Amino acid sequence: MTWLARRLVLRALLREWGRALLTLAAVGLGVAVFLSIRLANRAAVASFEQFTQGVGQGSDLVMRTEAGPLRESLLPSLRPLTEWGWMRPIIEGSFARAGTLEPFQVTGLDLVGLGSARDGQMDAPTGQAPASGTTALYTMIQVPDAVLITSALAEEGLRPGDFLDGFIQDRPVRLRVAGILPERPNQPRLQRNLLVMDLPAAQKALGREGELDRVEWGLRPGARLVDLEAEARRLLPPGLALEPPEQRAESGRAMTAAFRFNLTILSLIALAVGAYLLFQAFDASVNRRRETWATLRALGHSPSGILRLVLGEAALLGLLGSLLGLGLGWLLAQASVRAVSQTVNALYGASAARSAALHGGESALAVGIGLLACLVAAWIPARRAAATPPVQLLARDGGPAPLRWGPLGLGGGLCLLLGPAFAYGVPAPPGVAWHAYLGAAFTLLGGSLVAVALLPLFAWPGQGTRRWRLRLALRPLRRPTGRHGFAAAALTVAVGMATGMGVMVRSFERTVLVWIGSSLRADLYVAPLGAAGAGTQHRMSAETANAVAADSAVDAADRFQMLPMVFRGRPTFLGSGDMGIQAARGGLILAAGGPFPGPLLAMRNGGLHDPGVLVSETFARHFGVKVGEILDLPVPGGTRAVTVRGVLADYGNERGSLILDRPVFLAWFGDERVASVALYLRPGQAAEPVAARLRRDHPALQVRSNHALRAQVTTIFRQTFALTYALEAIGLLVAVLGLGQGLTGLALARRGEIWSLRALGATRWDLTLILMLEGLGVTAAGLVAGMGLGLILARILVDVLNPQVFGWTLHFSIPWPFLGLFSAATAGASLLVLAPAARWGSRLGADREAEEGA
Amino acid sequence: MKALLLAGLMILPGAGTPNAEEFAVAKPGYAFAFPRDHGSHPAFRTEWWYLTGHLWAGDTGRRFGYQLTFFRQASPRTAWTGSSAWRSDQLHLAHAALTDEAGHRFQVDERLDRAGLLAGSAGDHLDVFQQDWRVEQGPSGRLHLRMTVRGAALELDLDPATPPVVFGEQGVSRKGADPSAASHYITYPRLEARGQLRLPEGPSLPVHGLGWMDHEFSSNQLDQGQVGWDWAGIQLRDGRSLMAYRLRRQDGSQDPFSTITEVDAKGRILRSTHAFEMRGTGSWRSPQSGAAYPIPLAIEAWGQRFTLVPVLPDQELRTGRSTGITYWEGACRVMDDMGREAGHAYLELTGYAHSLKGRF
Amino acid sequence: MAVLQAKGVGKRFESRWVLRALDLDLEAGERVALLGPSGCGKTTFLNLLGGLDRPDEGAILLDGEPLHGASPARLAELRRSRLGTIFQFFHLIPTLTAEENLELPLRMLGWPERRILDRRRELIEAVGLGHRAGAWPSELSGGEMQRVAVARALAAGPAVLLADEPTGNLDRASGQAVLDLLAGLTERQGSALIMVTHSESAARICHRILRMEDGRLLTGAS
Repeated sequence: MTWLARRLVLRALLREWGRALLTLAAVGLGVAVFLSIRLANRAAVASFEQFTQGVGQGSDLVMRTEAGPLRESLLPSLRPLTEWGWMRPIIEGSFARAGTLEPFQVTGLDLVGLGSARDGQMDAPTGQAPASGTTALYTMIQVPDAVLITSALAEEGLRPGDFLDGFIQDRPVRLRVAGILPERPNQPRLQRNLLVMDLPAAQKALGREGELDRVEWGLRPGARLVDLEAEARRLLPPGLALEPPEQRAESGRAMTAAFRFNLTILSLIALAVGAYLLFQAFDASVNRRRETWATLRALGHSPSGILRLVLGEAALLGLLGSLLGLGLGWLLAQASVRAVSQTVNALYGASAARSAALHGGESALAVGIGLLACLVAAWIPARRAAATPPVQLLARDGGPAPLRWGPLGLGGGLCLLLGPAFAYGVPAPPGVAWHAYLGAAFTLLGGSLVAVALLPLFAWPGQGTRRWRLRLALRPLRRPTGRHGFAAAALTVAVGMATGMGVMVRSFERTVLVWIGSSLRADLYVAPLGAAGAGTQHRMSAETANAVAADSAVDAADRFQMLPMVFRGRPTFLGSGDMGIQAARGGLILAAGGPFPGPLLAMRNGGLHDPGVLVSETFARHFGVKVGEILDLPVPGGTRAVTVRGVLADYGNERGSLILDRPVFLAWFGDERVASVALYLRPGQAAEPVAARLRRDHPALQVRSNHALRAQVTTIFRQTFALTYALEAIGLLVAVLGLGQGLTGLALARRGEIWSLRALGATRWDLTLILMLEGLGVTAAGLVAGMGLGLILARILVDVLNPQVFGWTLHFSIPWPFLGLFSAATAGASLLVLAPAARWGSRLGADREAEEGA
Repeated sequence: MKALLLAGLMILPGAGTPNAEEFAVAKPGYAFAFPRDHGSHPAFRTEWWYLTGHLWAGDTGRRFGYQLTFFRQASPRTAWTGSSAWRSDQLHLAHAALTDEAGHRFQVDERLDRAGLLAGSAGDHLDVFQQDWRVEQGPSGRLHLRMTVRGAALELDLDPATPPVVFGEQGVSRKGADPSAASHYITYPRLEARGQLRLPEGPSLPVHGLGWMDHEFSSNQLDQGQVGWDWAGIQLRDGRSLMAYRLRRQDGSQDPFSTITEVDAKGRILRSTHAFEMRGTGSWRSPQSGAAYPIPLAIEAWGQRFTLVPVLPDQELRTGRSTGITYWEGACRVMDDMGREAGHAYLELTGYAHSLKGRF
Repeated sequence: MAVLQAKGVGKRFESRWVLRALDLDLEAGERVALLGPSGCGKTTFLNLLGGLDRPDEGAILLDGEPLHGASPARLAELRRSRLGTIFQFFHLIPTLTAEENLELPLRMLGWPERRILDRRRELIEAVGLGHRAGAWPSELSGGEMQRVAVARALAAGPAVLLADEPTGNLDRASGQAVLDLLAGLTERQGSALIMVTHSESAARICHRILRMEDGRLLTGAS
C-alpha cells in the first residue's frame, strides 16, 4: 500500500510541484490568518486580563465598592477578618510615559505586608537575600517616587537607579526605578506595561490619599475559605461587595468576548475562501489522474483503497500546508498583535501587548482546521474516483461535466432569502447574535451559488458576436464547469465579505462622523496628557480644572467625569456632565426621550429631589432599560433611585454609560476630579491662542481644538478597523490566487482546443487573450454576485449584528466610491493573476503535439 | 534583652551606622510612670513586648505554653513617612507560638506589617496590636491577650500579681561595655492567667496558668564580640522569680555583663549578680536548622542550682519572613538540685543556628 | 515550383533521432499520401511540414519561404492563410456550433461579414451538412465532425492541406465519404494535400504514395 502511495501520491506531488505548492499556499494562508488572529487575540486579552486581575495572583476574595472609590476609613472594622485571611489593599492608576505617551498601569500595593504574607513572593526586589528583606524594604517604602518594573521592561534597558519620566493624572512626574519584580516560575510573564509602587506612595502620586480601588484577601494557612467568606460577609461594611477573584477575570473576558468573537469569525474569511479553492484543487487533481484510478480499479484495487490514497494525499497536503501556516501565522501574529491590542485598548482600555506567543492549543486547533478543510474538500472527488466503475473513467470525456447551474442558482436564491430571514426574523435578547451569524453564513453560501448561476449571463456577450476571440472566450461560460463554478464562488465569498465589512465600516464611520459633528460643539477640549481609550484612569484635579475654566477667554466650561461602576453585576461607566451647558450649547443625539434638549433640562430641573439620568444606547440595550424607568443606582453609602430621561447615542465605549447631571453627581459622590473639560470660548476669541496659553501653563494637559478632536476620534475609529482591512485584503488575495489556479485548470481542460486553434493559425497573443477573457468573465460573475451579496451582508451587519452585540444603532449608507474602487482593485488584481496563467495556458498545445507525435 | 540584639539586626546597611543621636538612648534617671510607660516610646529606635506563659486546661491538666511577641522598629529620620494608615517609618513584627505538650506539637506564626491600619501601639498605655493579635491593659490593670496561630486561637485575661519591675541599675539594663549598649527593661514577672484556648481541630478549652511579660525599649547596637545569648524567665513555686541573661562571646566565654536577678513575690528586686553559670546538661539537634541547643539547661547562682527541662524538645522558631532569625524559645519545667519540680520557666536560646554577628 | 518543400529534415527527441534526412517536394494541387507503420514518425513529419514544430536539421519551405526560421507570428499567419489541418480526433471547438467552427478561420482572418456568410453557406453545402449546421459537436457523429473539420481546414482556401489520419476514427462508410470530400474539394480549390495514413485504401485518392519507415522515406513512387 505504501509502495503505491509513494509512487502515486508523492511522485505525483513532486512532479506537479507547482500545483501542489498552490494548494499548500491556499491551506497555509487560511491557517495562517486564522492562527494569527487567535494568537493576537490571546495576547491582547491576556494583557487586558492581567491588568484587570491585578498583579498578586493568589487572592481568595475581593472586596470592592459598587460605585466610587473605597475609603480606607472602612477598613478598621475589617481587622477581625485578619484572623482568617491576610489583607491586600490595592489602588490602580495610569502613567503615560513622556514622549511616546505609551500607557502604563500603576498598581499600588502594601509592599511590607505583601512580603510577609507569602514566602518569597514579591518581597524584596531581586538580588536581595530574604534575611535582609526587612532592610531592603526601607529602600522601597521610604522613597515616594520609587517603582518596581517588570523584567520585560527591564530587558529594554531600564535598570534600578534609572528614571522614568511621564505623567500621572494631570501632573508631570519623575519616577525612580528601584528594582525589578521577580517572575514566578509557573505563572505567565508579567505584563511589560506594569509599574508597582508602595501603596501610600501610589495614593500620593495619584492624588487619592485615603482611597483604594479594592481590597483582596488571601486565606491564612489553617483557615477555611468558607469561614473567611462567612466572616467577610458578616463584617462587610455597607457599600462594599464581595466577589471571588475569578469573577474579575471573567468580567474581563466577557467584556472582550464579543470583540474577540467578531475577529475570529473574520479570521475565517481566508479559510472560507480557501475552502472553495481546495475543493477545486482536489477535484482537478483527481480528475487528471482518472485514468490511473480506472486502471487500478480494473486491476482489482478496492474502492476503499483508492479513497484512502486520495484522502491520504489530501491529508499530507493539509498537514504540510498547516505547518507552513503555523510559521506564517506566528509571523502575522507579531504584525497584528499591536493592532489588536490597540483596538482592545481603545475599546476597553488597559491592553499593551507587543508580542504574541505561539500557543500550543491554538496551533493544534489551526492545524486541525487546515487538515479538516483538506479532507472535507477532497471527500467528494475521492468518493467519485473510488466509486465510479473503471469503464466510465477510461472513456475519453469531453472535459469536466458542466454544472447544473439552474438548480444551483435556485438553491442560492433560496439561501439568499433564508439568510436575511434568519437574521431579521429571529427575536433575540441583547447580546445574542447567533442568528445574525447564521444568517450571514446562509447569505454567503447563497451568494456564491448565485454567482455560478450568473456565469451563463456573462457568456452572453460572446453569443452573437463576430469577434471570434470574444466568442471563444465566453462561450464556455454558457455551460460552466466545476472549475468555473469554484473560482466564481471563491471570488464571490471574498468580494462579498470584503464588501460587507467595508460597507458596514463605512456606515459606522459616517454614523460616527455625524455623531461627532453633532456632539462636539465646544471650542476646546482639555484632558490629561496620558488619557486615551476607554479605560483610562488619568484625571485632572479640581484645582486644575478650575484654573482652566477660569481663563479669561472662557465663557462656559463643561466638566466631565467618568468612573467605572458595577451595575446589576456588569461593569459599566458612570459619568457626569453639565446638563445646563449641554442643553444651551451642546448637541447630543438622543435615540429616545424626546427632542434635544428636553431630557437634559428635565434633569437639571429635577435636581436632587427628582434625579434623572441619561443612558447610552449600549447601556439601554444591555440592561434592557427604557425611558421613564426608575433605576437603583449604587452610590457611596447605598443606592439612589434615578429616572431614565433619555437614551443617548454614544459610540465611544462598548460597556455603556449612565450620565448624571454634575450637581447631583457632586452631591452624591463628592468627587470633584474631572476626566475632561469642554471649553466654550467667548465670542470673538480665537481657539489657537487660548490653547497655546493653556498648554504652556499646564504641561501635563492636552488641549485639542474641536477640529483636532474630531480628527483624533476618526483616527481611532480607523485604527480600530485596521485589522479588518488587512483581513479583507488577504481574503481577496486568496480568492484571486484561486482564480489563477482555476484558470490554469480551465486552460488544461481546453488544451485540445488550444492546440487546434494554434493549428488554425491563432497566435500566442490570441490564445492568451481568449483565456484571459474567459477568466475575466468568471471574475465579472464573482464581482457582481459578490457586490450584491456584500450589500445584503452589510445590511445584516448594520441592522442586526451591531445592535445585538454592541448595542449601537448605525445608519446604513452605501459608499459608492469605495465600491467602485474595490471593484477596480479586484478586477485589476484578477488581471494581474490571470495574465500569467493565460500565457501559460496558451503554450499548452505544445505538449499535446509531443503526445500525438510518432 | 533580646530586643537589643534583635534591634541590631534591623539596621539599614546602605545608611551606614545609624545616627544614634536621632534616637533617645537609655540613660540613668529615666522617670518611669505607669500606665504611660507600658505604651510605646517612639523616641527610641526599637521596642518590644514579650509575653510568655504556662497554661493548664481546666480539668484535664493538659499542659500548654504560649509566646506572643510584638516588635516595633523605627527607621532613621526620613522625609517620606507614608500615610497614617500605611507608615513608612515604623515597622511592626510579631511572633506567636503555641506549645502543646500532649499533642507533641509546636505551632508558630509570624507577621510583618507597617505601622498604621494593620499594626500599632498606643503611646499612653499598653495597647499593642498586629492584625488580629493584640494585648491591651484596661484601667483596672488587667491585661487582655488575643492571638491566633495556624487555626488555634487564644484569649487570656492576665492579672499582674506584682507591680511592674524595672530591671537594671538606676532603671537602665546594660548589655555591654559601651555605656550606650543599654535598654529600659520593664517586666511583669507574674501574671495570673485565665481564658480560653481553641485548638485547630475544634474544641475550645478553658485554661488557667501563669504568665510573664517583658517590655524593653532602646536604640542601640550590640557589642561586636557577642554571637548570641541565652535568656530565662523562671517562676518558682515559692513565689520568687528569677530573670537571667547570658551573653555569649565569640570565643565561647560569657560576657561579664551577663546578669541574673532575683525578685520576690511582691515584685521587689532582692539581689542581682554577674557571677553565675548557665550550662547545657544535654543537647538537642534541630532537624530543620541543624543547630544544637544546650537543653536541658542548668543555671547555678548564689549556691542554688536549677535545671530547666523543656516541655517539648522542638520549640524552635524559624522566622524567615519577619526577622529572619532562627532561635529556640520554649516552655520548661524547673527542677531543683534534688530533681523535684520547683517551678516553671521560659527559656530563650539564640545564636545557635547561625551567629547573630553576621546580621549586622 | 513546389509549393511545399522539405530538404534534409531531421527531428530529434531527447537523444534519439526520430526523423532523418527527409526530402519532399509537393507541387501545387498535388495529393500525396504518407504511409507507414505506427511509430515511424509520420505525424511528427506532418507537424513539421505544417509549421507546428521546428526541425532540428534541414529546411522546410512554403512557397519558397523557410518555415523553420519564421517568427511565431509569421508562422501563425501562414497557418491561418496558407495551411489547413485535419486531425484524427477532429478537434472541433466544443463551445462552437458546427457552422461556427467552420467559419472560424475566416473570422480569424478578419473577412467582412458578408463574405463570411457566403463562404460558410458554400462550405456547408459542399460538405453536405445542411440541417446539422447549427448543431454542437457533441451532437454530431464522427463522420459529420470530420466533415466540419474538412470544411474548416479548407475555408480560407489554403495552398496546402495537411491531414493526419483523417479516417482513423471513422467507420468505413463515413471514412470513404470524407475521403471523397477531401479529394473533391482539394481538386476544386487547387489545394495540395499531404495525408498521413496507414490505410492503403485511403491512400488511393492521392497522386503519390510515399512510404516511411523508422524515420526515413523509402524511395519510390506509386
